[in-house]
Amino acid sequence: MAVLACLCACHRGGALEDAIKKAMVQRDTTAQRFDSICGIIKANPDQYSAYVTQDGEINYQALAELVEEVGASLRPAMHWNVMAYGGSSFSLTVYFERSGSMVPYDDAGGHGQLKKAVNDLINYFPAGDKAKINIVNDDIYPYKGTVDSFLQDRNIYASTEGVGNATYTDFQKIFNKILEAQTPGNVSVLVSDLIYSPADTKDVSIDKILNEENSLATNMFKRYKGKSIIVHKLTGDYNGKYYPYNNNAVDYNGMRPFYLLIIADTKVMDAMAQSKDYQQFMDVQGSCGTYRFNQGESSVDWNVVPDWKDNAGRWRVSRGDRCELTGAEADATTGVLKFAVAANLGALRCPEAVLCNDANYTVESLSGFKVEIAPIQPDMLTANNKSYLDGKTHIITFTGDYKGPRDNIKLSLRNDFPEWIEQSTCKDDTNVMAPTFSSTTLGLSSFLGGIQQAFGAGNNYFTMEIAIK
Amino acid sequence: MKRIVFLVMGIVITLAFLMMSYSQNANIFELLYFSQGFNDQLYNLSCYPMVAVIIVSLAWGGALVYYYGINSVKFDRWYHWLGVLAVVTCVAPVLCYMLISVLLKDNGLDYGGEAAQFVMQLFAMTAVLYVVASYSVRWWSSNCRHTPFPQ
Amino acid sequence: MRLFIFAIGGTGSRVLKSMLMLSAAGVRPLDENGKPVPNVELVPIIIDPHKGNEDLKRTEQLLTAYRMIRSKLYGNRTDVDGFFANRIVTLREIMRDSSIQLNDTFIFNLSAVERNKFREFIGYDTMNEANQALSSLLFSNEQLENKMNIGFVGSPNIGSVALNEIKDSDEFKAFANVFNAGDRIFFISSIFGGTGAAGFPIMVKNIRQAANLDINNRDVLRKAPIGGLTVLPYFNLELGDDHRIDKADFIVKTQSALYYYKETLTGANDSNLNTIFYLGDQVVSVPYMYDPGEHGQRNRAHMVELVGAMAPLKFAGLPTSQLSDENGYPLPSSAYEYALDRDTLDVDFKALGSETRALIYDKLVKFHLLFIHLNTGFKDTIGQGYTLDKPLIKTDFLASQFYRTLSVEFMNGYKDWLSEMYNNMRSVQLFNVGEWDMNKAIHDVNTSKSFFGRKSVDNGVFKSVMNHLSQNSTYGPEEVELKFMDLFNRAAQKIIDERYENIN
Repeated sequence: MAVLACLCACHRGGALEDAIKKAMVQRDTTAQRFDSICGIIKANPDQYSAYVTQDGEINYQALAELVEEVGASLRPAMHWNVMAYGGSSFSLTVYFERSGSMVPYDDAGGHGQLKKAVNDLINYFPAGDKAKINIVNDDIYPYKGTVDSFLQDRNIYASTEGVGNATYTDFQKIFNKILEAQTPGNVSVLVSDLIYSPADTKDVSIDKILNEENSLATNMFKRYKGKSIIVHKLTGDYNGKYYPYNNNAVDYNGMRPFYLLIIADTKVMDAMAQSKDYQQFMDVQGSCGTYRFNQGESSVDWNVVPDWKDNAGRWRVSRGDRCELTGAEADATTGVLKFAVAANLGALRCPEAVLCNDANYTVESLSGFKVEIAPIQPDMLTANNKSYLDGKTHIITFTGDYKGPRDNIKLSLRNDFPEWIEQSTCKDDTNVMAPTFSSTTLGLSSFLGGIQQAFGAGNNYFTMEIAIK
Repeated sequence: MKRIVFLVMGIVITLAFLMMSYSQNANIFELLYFSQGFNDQLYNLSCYPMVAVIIVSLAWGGALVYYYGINSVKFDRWYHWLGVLAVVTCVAPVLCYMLISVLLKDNGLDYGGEAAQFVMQLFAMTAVLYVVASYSVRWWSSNCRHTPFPQ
Repeated sequence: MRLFIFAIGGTGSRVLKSMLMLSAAGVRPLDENGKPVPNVELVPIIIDPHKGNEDLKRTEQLLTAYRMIRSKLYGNRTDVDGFFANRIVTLREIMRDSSIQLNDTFIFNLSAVERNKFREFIGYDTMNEANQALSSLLFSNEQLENKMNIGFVGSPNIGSVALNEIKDSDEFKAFANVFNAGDRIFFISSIFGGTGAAGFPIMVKNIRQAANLDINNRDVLRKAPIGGLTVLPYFNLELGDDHRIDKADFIVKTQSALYYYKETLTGANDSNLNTIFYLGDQVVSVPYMYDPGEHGQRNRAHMVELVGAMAPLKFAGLPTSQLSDENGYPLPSSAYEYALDRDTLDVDFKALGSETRALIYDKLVKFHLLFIHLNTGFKDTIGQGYTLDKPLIKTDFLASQFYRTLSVEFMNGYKDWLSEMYNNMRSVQLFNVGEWDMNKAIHDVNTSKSFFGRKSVDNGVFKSVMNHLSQNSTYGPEEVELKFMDLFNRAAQKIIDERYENIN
């Protein structure tokens, strides 16, 4: 008995590890639960000194490593980005474009979609109350007021009138400054119409301007490694002067697209994408097109679902860095090995149509495995598979004539340039009466294409490898 | 000396058993019976160490009770020892089944069939551990040290 | 120290048998401090021309069995505790001079005496007329015609003549040869019969006058401490028409003999006999059948014999200072008598004096429990518990000579001894004879009380205690017998201490 008592007492991590494990097993990975875990550390700072800084604060980095370790020991392995709860984890910096063509978005008679979108971003960001707000046009200028005053300001353009030179937007300067100013964990959001309007474009052909825009984008983003950008297209009421590329201002009253560019390190972006706490921040309301630019592949959280209605054959999931199905045997009657994988594809910030289109996936295997992808519906959840599906968005079903003795399945989601960008692009914005004017932006594809080229076209969103033995 | 060797061996085997109940990849409770979802949940809910502790406690407890609690010449035959083994090997799986059922239920899981199959292996494990415990502790029993086999 | 015990006549054999039972139970001579006297060897020598005497035969058989059992248990060791503690040897066993040929027996060879009629022994027919007339005056015609192989049939005047020849025998020479300084001599005899009454003073005289004999160690013998148990009349005879012993003569003969002893052995300044134990009982025993024939004289054991058996052990434990002066010369006689604590016809342990109880109670109870265990539980124990500790006690142990001798030969003798004493007057009721329940085995002694009633004693309890004791005991591979007896002895002591009422 004494031996057993010692064994229990020596159980690594003790109450802290148990609390983390319990929270993850119960899928209660909320800020509130995290606070209770921090409470354990604060109540016993001597015992958990490894998780306390010299200042007596929680060492989020160390705690995050422990959480990751505990999560990795679970079946299936779980992730919980507790860094997000750390006061110094992720910070938000908003860059609010104040060029001449942006002012009509905030017309008093309009619905104020642009301001609402910016306010939502700030509100839904966990540390949004500490967000830094900047005004950008020819340069970046700090917003003089507070976050609250910004949120409560009904006419932001009026209150920021006179800040910088609103006649043109120097994207090169702006993006360079944004990217240079990014500290680790910083999330930057640029609110812009993404209309490339450099100074002195008189008599310059549109093609030249667009090519210049494309090159500029490629050149800019090439210099910054490990970055990830999510672009959201939104539309809002516009009432005022519109400045086409030839600078012949025209009055326009109608819908116009504007864009939110979320810029962060890829790791930070992945963490936010997988975190419930950043769910609303990432799910921008009113977004009618989104695309994520990645310099590398994203890590997607996924696991094999043992309790799935369509599974056929037998296997055992081995644990470790690499997913292996050991002891695999195809169904004795049909000769088919079929298993389901639940994945958090939502974290990729890809449109559902892209994610659920089998054609967007590349599958390599000896046994000719094929995949079917379907979003997880609430009625798919059962008591027993809940833990495997929780935090996941899609079910990927692998089907193959597995005869053994081993196979290796490699599944990739190709990172193709989305169609909506092309559809949202125009090369001539002088005709405000054109039917596409309300939904297109001059040279959008040139600019975003430049970023795509900088990040390396042809990348996959993610790759999943499953060894079968 | 022989007695000490047996005791140490018994403790080592038991500790190894307990350690293996913590293992993620080579868990002793997944060697004889495995159902992915069910076993994953048992692992996540830390059932294995609890089950291991129950089995070890009952096996060693049963052996200690037999050799030092009962320790009577009226119960020093091999079939008395076997009787305690039977009781222990029945009680341990039943207790484990109850524990597992409660834990699964508390977490909204429904693995009744798997749980029943799972505890079948515990009969054998408990019996083996009871034998191990018996050979570890019996040497100092005044009346039952020769049970079930002479020293 | 060797104690040479001359058991003379039928009474001598019977007392010796009781002493044998006490020795089997582990009763040892104790010194004045109550500690066992070290290195004691008992050398019983039975002197009785009546070889057909059943009491003598039974005693000899038990002596042989005792010797065999003890040899198996302890070999030649002397200072041991437990059952069969006293080492009992024959003269032959301790003889150093091999020029003397002796049988390895406890019985003194009286062939020169027992072959003849008394008249032939004294050469009556070759005497002149005057001597014949004197002989006829001293001996009746019946006595002269008496064949001495049936003893001296209550005629000490015959015995005194016949036994005087002993001093010339090989046995006596052998005895003188092995007798060393520090050894002691004890005589057991009755005073109211023939053989014992005559033999005792003659033997004492011959030893004290050893200087006149052609034997070794004469000086040592002359100074030897000598004790004697003189048994006064204690049994009754069932007489037929043809009898040569008359119970009515017992008292007269006793009185005469006592006078004679006073003159020659136990006088105030007489140093021939250092210690004399007088023992008798006015309560008349159940009448014994007078049968001087071949298988006659099978008399029931008697309490007097049991008490008498303690006399030689007591004598062995007396300090030398009470027996010899500083120059080694024997001191004048001191006499001992014995009395019960309660004058009752049913004598149990509680009726005995405290000194006697202290001496024999634990030992006899242990032996009796052994007797019960061997008859009721031991066989079933083999193959379990302590029997499986090394050295193993296997089923073939039951077929061993040791076990058969102990459980059959010796224990039957013990059972008879107990029964006979029980069925005699006074009735000795130390144990409830025939009772196999250990809880009720000791007469008028219950098991002690516990919270749940009386504590229980049975074979299971013995097995348990022996199992426990065996754990911490080590015996050699050849000590199977010792293991069993030693464990039982220690277990029994523990059980007596813990589970029976204490009457000491």
